[in-house]
Amino acid sequence: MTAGARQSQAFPFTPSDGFILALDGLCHRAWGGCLSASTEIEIEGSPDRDKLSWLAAALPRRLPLLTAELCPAHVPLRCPCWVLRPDASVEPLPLAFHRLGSVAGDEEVVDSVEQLRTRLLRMPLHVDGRPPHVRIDVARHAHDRWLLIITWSHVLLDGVGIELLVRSMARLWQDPHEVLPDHLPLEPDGSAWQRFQDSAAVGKFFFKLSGKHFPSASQGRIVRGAPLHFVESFSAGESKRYAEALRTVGGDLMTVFFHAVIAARAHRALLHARGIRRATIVMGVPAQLRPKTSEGEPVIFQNHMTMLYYVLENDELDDVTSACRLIMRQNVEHLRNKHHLSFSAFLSLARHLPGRLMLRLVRWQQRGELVSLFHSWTGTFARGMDFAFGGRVLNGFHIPGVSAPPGSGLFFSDCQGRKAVVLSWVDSCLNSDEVAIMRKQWRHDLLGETSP
Amino acid sequence: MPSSTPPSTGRAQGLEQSLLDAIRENLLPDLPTSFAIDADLFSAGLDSMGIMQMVLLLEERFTCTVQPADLTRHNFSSAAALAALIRGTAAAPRA
Repeated sequence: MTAGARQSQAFPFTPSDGFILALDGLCHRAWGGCLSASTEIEIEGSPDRDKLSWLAAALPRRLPLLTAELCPAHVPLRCPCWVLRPDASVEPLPLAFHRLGSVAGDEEVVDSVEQLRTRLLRMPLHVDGRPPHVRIDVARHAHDRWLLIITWSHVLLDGVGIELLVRSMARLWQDPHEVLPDHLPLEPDGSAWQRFQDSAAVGKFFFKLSGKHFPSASQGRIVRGAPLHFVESFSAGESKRYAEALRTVGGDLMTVFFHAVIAARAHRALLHARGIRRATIVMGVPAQLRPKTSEGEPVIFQNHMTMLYYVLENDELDDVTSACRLIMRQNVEHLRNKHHLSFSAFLSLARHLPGRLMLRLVRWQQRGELVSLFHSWTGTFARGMDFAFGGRVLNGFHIPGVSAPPGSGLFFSDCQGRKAVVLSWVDSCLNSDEVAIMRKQWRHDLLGETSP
Repeated sequence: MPSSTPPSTGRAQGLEQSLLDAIRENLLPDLPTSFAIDADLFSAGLDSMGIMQMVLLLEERFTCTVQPADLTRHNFSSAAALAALIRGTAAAPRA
């Protein structure tokens, strides 16, 4: 879909969109905002303000789903949809410029990057389902370095989608005539009865899971509190030690399992500090089921995930290598039983339910909890994109927001060999001492620092 | 074992071809029939989900249990590398 081809169109929610919308509702109840995330790219040089303004205006014209409205109950399709209205005005994406006080300029002064990140993650997006769903902020934090911060609603994009959007932005920056990829309208996905049958395998899995008690940072409560986060971006030397730790557990494709174990151990340390010594940790780790456009490009918008659940008893987390091996076996068994497809079928059915009812059913079945923690390894950030938006890319990572329950999440990424850990939580689910305990644990596991 | 090393026997050639057939049937339906045994599977679309499905395929069809140490980008890069893994001659040591 290119500029000018604005027609009334409805894009039905994907199965995982429905669940994300339900989590978005939890965030709205917690602090009045949405389930948003930010993506931060550090770039060498100075930002080209005119070109960034042009980009903010051009993007919604090239990618109309940026301007879509959320229709919670589309009657013909009987599920929530993104709707493109032909009469809607196409506004540029919100764009603002900031700088630290130590850098000369006329932009708004912020006390710290940390303060800016917190403020941006609390800015409401897609209020009442209307755009903007994405905003752009630029912050100069040194005379020759700047940050491009894209804050986005998780209801419209997922972690892979935002990287595809960043790549599209970079291509458009290089070539203003670049035609960006079409969005793929999703086809109806079979009868409800067929989906019900397909979801049986994961239903059995959840039934077994209901016999376990897996506490989270929020202890199963829906809490009131704003989103908070802690970013640890490792130095080159630390990143080398981190990579060494990763190599001890197996081959270079063990990355996903390694990070799941590190996240689980950090949360186990939290639970131990709270006096919960025999905790079971349950993680839902996203896996991509991303379709491609007719041109063979992966689609940018909407969530295209399924979830694979890993269950680790307290003692199974004592040794990182053994725990990685265990999770790898659980992954193989999930695929053998087609749980990834079954969970997607389950979500496909559930998207027809109001989000609040869907969550209530899941939490009732799991004693108030959803999982013990949110977690993902968001991969190598923009692999191969060494130069973008007028300068060399120095670093990049995502800061996902989380809902409560579970109240916290630990996320890992890599950019140009530099590793980063991001802890996100809902205020009141973790205190500063508990954040320090979790950090000590991941620094022990990743860098070999003194035993926590 | 370098991925470009040609198979030494007809039986070996059969294993590589069986792997390509299984990959086409289960993971990458658009893989051309002319796809070479040492051609890069990642470039052809093998992703992280596909790798784990490949692990399952190796277990179920080729009775090869993949250990964590075997889970390397090199071992999954081509049909030839996968065949080497099955034969136990992969470059990476078995755990």
